[in-house]
Amino acid sequence: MTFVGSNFVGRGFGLRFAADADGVLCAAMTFDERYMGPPGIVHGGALAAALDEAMTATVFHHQEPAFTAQLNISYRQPVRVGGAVRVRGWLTGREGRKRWLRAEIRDEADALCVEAEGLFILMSRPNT
Amino acid sequence: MGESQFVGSHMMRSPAPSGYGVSFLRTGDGAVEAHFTFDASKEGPPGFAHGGAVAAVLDEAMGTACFEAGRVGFTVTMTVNYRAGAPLNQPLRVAASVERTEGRKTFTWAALTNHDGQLIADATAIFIMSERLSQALKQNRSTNDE
Repeated sequence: MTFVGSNFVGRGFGLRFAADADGVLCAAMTFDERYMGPPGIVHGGALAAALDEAMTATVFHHQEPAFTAQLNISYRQPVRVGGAVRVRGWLTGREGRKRWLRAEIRDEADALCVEAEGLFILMSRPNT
Repeated sequence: MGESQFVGSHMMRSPAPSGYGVSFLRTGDGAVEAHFTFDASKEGPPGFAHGGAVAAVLDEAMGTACFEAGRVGFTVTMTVNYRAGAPLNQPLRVAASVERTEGRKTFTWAALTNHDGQLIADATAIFIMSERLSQALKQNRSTNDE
């Protein structure tokens, strides 16, 4: 995750996430045919990667770098190659070094295509 | 290339940076596996692959296991448990198999390990069979074969 102004740019797709007033990180994306799984449909793994990127942007937004411990993904409807989508992530809870997050991918009609819950663990602070 | 050999999705087969350069082998009893490396295009934490890259390979492995079982379909749910970092530029192994079936649902399992056999991540997924997808893949193969 890198920082460009107040945006978070993911290492995977290079999605540019911006935070809204509620701390929801949002990025626009169009998956082209490089990310195709079944014919004409975006690969489930590419969608998982975008959700992971949204959650990573979220923990960085909260200035708490963390790594993925678990992802639970539900695929509601297919995402078509070439269709524009919005990827969103937000924090839902904290428990010690655990961070609970949700992420979603919605299409141009704002229909929910994929949703995920994530558990991230804070990275160790280097000894100073 | 035999009619029954599955070379994987476009994304997985195609090379980095957007692809993974992964292709699967049948290992018997319906299980599948692949040996591959994550390169710098997949970097998340320094020296390790990001969680999404790991999820993508596991999803592909489980989809391939479905194909091997004659149950091509779409992922409905997937859970990935991350146990250790996936080092870049090192040989890794991903294996998957079908655990059980229930009507059109296929329950699958996959694991990613490093060359020492250490578990990096494991996953389960439920796929739903799609006859339409099965037909579409057969059509793709017949137009691609020379």
